[in-house]
Amino acid sequence: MTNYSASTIDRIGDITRGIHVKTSILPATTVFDHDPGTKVDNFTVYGRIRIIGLNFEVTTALSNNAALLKWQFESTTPVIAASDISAVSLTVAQMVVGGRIMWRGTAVDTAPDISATQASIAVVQDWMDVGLTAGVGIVSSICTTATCTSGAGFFNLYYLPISDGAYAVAAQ
Amino acid sequence: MSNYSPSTIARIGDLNPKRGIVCRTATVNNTAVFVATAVNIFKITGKIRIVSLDYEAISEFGAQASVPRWQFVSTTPAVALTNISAASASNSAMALGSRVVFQGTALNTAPAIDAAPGISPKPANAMDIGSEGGALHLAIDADVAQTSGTSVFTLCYLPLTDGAAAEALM
Repeated sequence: MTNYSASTIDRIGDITRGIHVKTSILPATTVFDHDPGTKVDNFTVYGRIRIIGLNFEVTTALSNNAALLKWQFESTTPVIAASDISAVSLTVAQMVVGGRIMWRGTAVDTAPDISATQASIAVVQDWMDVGLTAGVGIVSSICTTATCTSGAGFFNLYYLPISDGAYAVAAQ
Repeated sequence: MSNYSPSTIARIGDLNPKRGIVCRTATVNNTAVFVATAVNIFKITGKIRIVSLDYEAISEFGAQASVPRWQFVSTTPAVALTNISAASASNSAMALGSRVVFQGTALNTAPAIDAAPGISPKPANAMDIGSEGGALHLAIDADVAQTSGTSVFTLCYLPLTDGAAAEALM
């Protein structure tokens, strides 16, 4: 058994599960606000990438409000309107610290999973390409149905580049 | 979280089996590739696994009912032109950013056209193509010619035999 340094382990992770980018910790009142339900930018995508994983991880338990979350992609250059890349999740009410909302990737109308604990029982196997060759776009989330009054968390993206020079950065 | 250079990001993609090595064409005029006969797009040496294979509308397609299907023609050993997909639905006036994605499931499975431009779900299956020491071309036959628009073809693959590789022909 090898004894890798932390940085080597990180590099192995990037190679095997895709490059990881994450947002800062965001208040639930921003991410899970269904009124007016405007999109929350998660990641800016330059070129075309392959999404290997996409999730929201809770860092402060969410309030008892039956908010639902879905993800979208929109191209800003050239301008193409936002389209869903998932259906809405089940309720996020009272999600605990470490719980995750996990995008599945299978189809644009596949609902994300909710893991009630830090243990995610069904690792995402599918992937989805988003973005245009030489374009710029945004992966965003939208909340529906209810608004969380407390809690916090952040978004994780795991990706691979497809078009020449493609990459993604956190939008906030 | 790492802050990689573009070349390192590209190498990470090469090493991941959910992408593999990327081989792309330049932006090509549709009039040169979507015609009524087969046009060679990629040259394959040896045997590869097609992880994904698609073309993207860099500008809107013409309003002609092209129904492209993927084929291969092996030069070493000589094997006649063979379909590896069914014809797609019509590409007429396909919007900028839309992709048509090879599905890999069977030789008569039609490629899938993006429901929304720039969003392409994973194809159903991979497909292995080629042979040890062989050489072939991946070709596209649109049946109905396009009169306008531009495209980029993208092949993501893994090599399966010694020295296996793919090369864009345009």
